[in-house]
Amino acid sequence: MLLEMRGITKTYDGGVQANRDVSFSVRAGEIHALVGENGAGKSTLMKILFGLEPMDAGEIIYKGQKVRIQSPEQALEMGIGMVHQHFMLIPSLTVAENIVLGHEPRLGGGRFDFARAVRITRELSEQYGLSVNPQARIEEISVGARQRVEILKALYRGAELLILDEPTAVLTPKETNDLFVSLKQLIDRGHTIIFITHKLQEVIAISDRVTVMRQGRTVGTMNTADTTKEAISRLMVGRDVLLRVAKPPAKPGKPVLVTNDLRAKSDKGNEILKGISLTVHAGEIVGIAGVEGNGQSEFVEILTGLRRATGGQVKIGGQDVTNWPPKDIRRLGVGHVPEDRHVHGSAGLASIAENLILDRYDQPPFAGQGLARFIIRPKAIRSFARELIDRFDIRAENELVPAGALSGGNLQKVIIAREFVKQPQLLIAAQPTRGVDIGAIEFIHQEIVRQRDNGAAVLLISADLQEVLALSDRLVVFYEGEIVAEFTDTAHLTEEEVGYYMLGAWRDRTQKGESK
Amino acid sequence: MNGDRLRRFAAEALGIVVAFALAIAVGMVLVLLLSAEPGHALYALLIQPLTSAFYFGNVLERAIPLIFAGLSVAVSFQARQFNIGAEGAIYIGALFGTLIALYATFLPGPVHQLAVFIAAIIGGALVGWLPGWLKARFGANEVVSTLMLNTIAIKFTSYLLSDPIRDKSSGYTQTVTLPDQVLLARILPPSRLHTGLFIALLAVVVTYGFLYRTTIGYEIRMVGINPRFAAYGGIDHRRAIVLAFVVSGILAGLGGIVEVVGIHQKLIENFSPGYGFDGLLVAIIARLHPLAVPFAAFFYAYLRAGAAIMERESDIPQEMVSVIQVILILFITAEALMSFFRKRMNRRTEHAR
Amino acid sequence: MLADILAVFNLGLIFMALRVTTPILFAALGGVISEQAGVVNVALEGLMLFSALIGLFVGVTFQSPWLGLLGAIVASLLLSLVFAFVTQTLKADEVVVGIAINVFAVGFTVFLMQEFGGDKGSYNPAHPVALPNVPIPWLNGVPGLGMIVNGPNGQGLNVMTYLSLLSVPLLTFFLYRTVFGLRLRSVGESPLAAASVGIRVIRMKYYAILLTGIFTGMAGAFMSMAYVNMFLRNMTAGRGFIALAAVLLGARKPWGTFLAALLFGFAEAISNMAQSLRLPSQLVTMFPYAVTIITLTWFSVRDYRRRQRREAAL
Repeated sequence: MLLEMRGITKTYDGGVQANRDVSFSVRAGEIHALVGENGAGKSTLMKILFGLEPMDAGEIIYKGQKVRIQSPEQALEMGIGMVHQHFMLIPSLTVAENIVLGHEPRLGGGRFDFARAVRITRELSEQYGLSVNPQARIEEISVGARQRVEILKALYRGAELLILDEPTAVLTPKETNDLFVSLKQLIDRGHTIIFITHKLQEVIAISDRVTVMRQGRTVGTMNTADTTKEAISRLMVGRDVLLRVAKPPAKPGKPVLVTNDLRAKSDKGNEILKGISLTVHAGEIVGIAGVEGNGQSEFVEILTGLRRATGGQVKIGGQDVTNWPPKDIRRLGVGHVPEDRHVHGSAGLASIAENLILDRYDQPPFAGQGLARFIIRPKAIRSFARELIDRFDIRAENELVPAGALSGGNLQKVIIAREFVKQPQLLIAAQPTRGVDIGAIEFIHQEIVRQRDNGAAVLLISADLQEVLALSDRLVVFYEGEIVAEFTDTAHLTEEEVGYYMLGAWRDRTQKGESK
Repeated sequence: MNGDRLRRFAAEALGIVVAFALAIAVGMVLVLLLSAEPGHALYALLIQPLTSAFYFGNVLERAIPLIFAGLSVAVSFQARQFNIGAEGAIYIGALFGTLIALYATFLPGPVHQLAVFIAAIIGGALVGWLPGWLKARFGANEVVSTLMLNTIAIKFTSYLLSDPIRDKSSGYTQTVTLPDQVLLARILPPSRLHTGLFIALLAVVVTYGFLYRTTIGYEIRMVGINPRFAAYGGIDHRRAIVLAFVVSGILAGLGGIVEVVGIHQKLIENFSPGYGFDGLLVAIIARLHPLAVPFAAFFYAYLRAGAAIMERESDIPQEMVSVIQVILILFITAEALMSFFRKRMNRRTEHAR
Repeated sequence: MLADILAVFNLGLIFMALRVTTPILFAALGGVISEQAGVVNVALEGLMLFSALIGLFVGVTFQSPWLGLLGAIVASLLLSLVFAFVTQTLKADEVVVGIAINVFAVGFTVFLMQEFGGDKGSYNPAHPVALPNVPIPWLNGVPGLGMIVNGPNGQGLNVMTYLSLLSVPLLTFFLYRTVFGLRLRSVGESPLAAASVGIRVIRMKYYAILLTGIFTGMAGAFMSMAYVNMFLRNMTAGRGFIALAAVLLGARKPWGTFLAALLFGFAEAISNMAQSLRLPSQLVTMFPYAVTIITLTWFSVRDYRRRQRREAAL
């Protein structure tokens, strides 16, 4: 064994237990896939290994010796390198400069030996078959090339064990193939690779062994050759307790949200939505299942006016609202619970009351009418806020407390209150219960069902498979920017079955209402 | 005020009070070290401004431009825009107002005076609008554009004063004394304290109302606190940014003309000794809250007035207070220090519970 | 009129311009270092002013302009250290602290003048010291160059002027050819990425701020021991802000900043001769500021268009 991690336990300050007694071992010279749902604890485990997070208990044995890794520099010294999902590169510097940064070759007098940096880069690049142009600036090269730079950077620092955190998430299929070829070459040269991924066909294609994590634990390690995508998928999504939400059958009405062949590019410029056509009717909850990063966030951003579509059409209540500004879309009666309550959902330094009036501060009764329409009425705002605090059970001393002082669950309730109280015709809820305590989860679920029963069309996006399964009347699965499956009968649907599509084990077999 | 708010207010206040105390303590040490008669100097600095109406009038008259400039900075900083163009707006406001005062003499008295202020508002608004629009539309760095505009405004004013609107009978680069009907009345002679004080206090209330009681103020504050939250809620952040700059310019422009028609009664070259920058420090001491600005301005003016007395009455020059001021600012802006007080306060109240 | 204007544009003007460019160029090169390390340093003005007075004090006390220069640099370093500590260690806002330091410098220098010189308007020492002018007589033989370097009276450019000109290639070399420069730039552009390869970001920013201090110290020394041989209240008169403008006009690069500083220097030189031109000097000196705003806008519009195009292309 090159690496053994035993009994690793880690609890974050907020009380989230990310790793519970995890054991994980890697053989020299293998590609070891580490898989698991979002929040299963893979990243935490790797952060501990790379010295980015301290562990509460457990031990790490590397090359037969018990080690303590307290910083990335220490990890690198031992020969452990990591390529992060978000590249750590300096855009205006050249490839060669980025690779040697921090350990630069020198001429006398503190001079930087650029020629040698280029030579080093070229040699490394040829040695490992990772082709890059040493003199190109990072800002000029493709995402795939940037990733090769990151790998070369780790190799230059002497990494023997290489951790790749979801390396294919940002790559095109062609780039993914190239990467795999290079990884094989790395193995031939005596390196070892830990490969974090969500995509099961990649596990099958590239790895020698695979370890599955679920809810902070390792639930199995096997030889890839002896297993199947289905078996891995079952291990990943199987759950002890099933979440149940009591809800009467849906009575779908007329279509409220219709998207037609919707297309978009991500911030990095790759095609993130490849033609999404989806309809949500009044009185039904449509769930979107999928591993994060498969286009759900961008889909929601387009629906709510925060991102431009590059093609296709969005209709809400019969109106073509493609690329409308957020204000106009909201005015049509669209409620939106954003996926990150701190980034978009709230203004931490503003009071609860001010957070609650975000999209109605300029309308009666909060603002006057006619000439007084620019005047805000604090009394109306405060009584409105008190009412919502009461009705949505927000635990705060009063309505003037800054939103940033609230706990995660209470802050989420503020957002839910704001978006739900206006009785939207379309409600878009992204990760509505992420990082929220059990009590609040139940409450939020009930409120979502109540909105549906009041006739709202509800679009629910969640990385938590249990949640989408429990709440949705209809379910679609996003995979790499496409809808790869649609289920109209969710009552008897199992996590395993959805899991196969989410993880890419099965695809393009869109079945309508024919689940078991 | 409820417990939670009180606690937060107390933590904030404690931090500021400690900063004040430290700053003044350093000032006292300086005086003790340098003065042959330290007791006398300190008395002049800290107590004497209170001992006569004249001295107290001096404090208040110095506070007036600082209130305007402080409000000006507070508005744009609340939108998280580093607009340091108050100095330029002070000059252009003063210049526009002066031009009307000099050349629109055909207007009846009160109308003339009103026209002077409106001209200053327009001037300030223009100077505020340009960098605001450049920032909102193209993302042009506002620190640089406002710094440049400051110098342009000052030089342009100097140019007009050097010849076109200069009082040729005077040896100074200044205009003639402006007509009586546009001047503000002196209210505490022999000090120069004038009715501009009430305009300044009115501006405080109006600015507070603007930021906390209007839809635009709400938009400005939300854009400042979390621009992505504002965008998500459908707030037009460009409009909010431009308006914050414009209002900021208006306040500074008013401050400029009030100083001209209140104190100097004519436009003088370089009449502002950096009120725009002082205003920035005042706004920071006030933690960007309009209602706290007059207090911060008063404190600042008090120090300056006390220092002026100290200089006359003792052997310590008044500029010594710049040491106190800078220490105060450094303490107050040092986020690490302030959050230290916030944490201490929280811990203590937790123990108490 | 036209003839008058043209008459100004002679080689003597270049000599004059180089002279008045010197403090701007020093401060601006200092600003380049801070900017490259991602520090917004609006304290240039105050650093320069403070070091001008302290430098002169030290120089006069020891009757040595060189010790004066050293004193100016040390003074500037001390104040820079305060700036670095408050902004980097205590995490205060850079713009606010920079402005505070400027306000402080104006007041504190007057305070010191009064305390130690007895006058608030100027400090005019009985035995002033001056950093020497260095004429290069043999250049008089070269047409044009002799006039540019030695001036109309043959007194020569100041030693600091040569040093400021020399600093441009030196700084270029330092930023783009040394390991330290590489790290400095990486910290400024992407502190996270720099930290991820083990570069100490805060420490690098301290270094950058202190290096800036060395340059503003030289700028200050030039003001009080070369430009004139005394100290005047607020004698930097906005040169620190001009320097900042030059940095941005020069796209944060040494050579670009040099050209921008030269533009400001020429404007000042022309305005100094403006009386003979019957041109309002204020309008002439306003010109580079307007150019800066226009250029800044143009840069921003260009970037904006580029973003738009990229979006459209997606």
